[in-house]
Amino acid sequence: MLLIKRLLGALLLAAGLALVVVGGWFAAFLGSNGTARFAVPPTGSTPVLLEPAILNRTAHPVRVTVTPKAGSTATIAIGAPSDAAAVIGDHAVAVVTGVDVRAKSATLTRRGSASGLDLGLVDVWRTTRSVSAPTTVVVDQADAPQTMIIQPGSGADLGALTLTWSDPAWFREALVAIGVGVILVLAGARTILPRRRRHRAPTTAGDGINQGTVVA
Amino acid sequence: MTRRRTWGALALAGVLAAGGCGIPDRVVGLRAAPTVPSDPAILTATAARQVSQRALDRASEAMTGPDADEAARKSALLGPALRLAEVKDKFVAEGRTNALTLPPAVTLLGVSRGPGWPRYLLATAQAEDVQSLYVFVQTDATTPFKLQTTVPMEPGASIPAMPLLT
Repeated sequence: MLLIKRLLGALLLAAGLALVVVGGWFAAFLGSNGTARFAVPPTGSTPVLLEPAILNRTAHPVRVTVTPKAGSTATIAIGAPSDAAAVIGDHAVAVVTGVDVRAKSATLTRRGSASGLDLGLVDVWRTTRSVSAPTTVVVDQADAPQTMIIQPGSGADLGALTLTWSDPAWFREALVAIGVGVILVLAGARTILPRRRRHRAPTTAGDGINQGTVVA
Repeated sequence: MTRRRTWGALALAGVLAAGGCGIPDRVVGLRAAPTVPSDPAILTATAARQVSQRALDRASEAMTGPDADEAARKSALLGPALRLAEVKDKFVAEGRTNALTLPPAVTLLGVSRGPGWPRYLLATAQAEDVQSLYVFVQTDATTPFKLQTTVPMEPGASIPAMPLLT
């Protein structure tokens, strides 16, 4: 019984420590306003595709920040997923498939092989804009589902691309995880560590009670 | 008392171990991406207005440009509008000075719905005191909208009300 108890205590301690570490990491990563920012790895001159599985997976707007390389431009187009798929066809694109939270970066996969995609000549986009300086586009969920494609200017590489989601509740949840972790650590430690036994002074029945009552 | 505590700790450890599955999705608020409506309007009102204005600009250049520029005509015109542009002595509607006078602003009347092609835009505009209807057609995803038909409207003519564009 004591062994099982100690084993459970160790489990609680480990779970608590894990919660404290994970909660602390997330609290530091998210900050007090709960902002998760992920950088898209460099894709060279290949356009980057953001599909509904990325843009519309939460109820929160996504902030996409595009930074063209100095002296070049980038075209940002947003449209219906089926329209974007019809336009892109077999053109080479780098598709954002998810995020690696620990690396704070997005994950990519390459698709298609054809070159010569020209977004500017196409009349299917809900919005399209050409930018030459760092630009943030807020993708609202009211128009979901939608697909975004970011294409660097002709012959140029895309400078940088980041995706940002914000929810203050995420920071609060990280704090709750830390709190729960601390409680589990304390509970586990209390179960594992041997308790100090209180040594009471042995008492003799009648001690002091009968003093002075002995009749000589 | 000790046994009760042990069972309590066991239950807590079980809940923690089993509850780990699926927690991240719920905490973050992940959901499946919404699906596309069955017959969405092909463009928003703003985008459709920009597209129709751009298509009309190209059509005006092609219609009034040199007769030898066949490529420009075919890239901007389609159907009756293209046939009209290809004749040497172009038809000029009464009250107009050339085959297609570019209006200062276009009012969008309707867009087709659904994911397929061809797609249509219907617009109207007034140029040289003549109100006209313009039909633009997009044959596939990678081809821009082209002017297909221009119809001058007679005084008092009207068209049925169409769904409001958003």
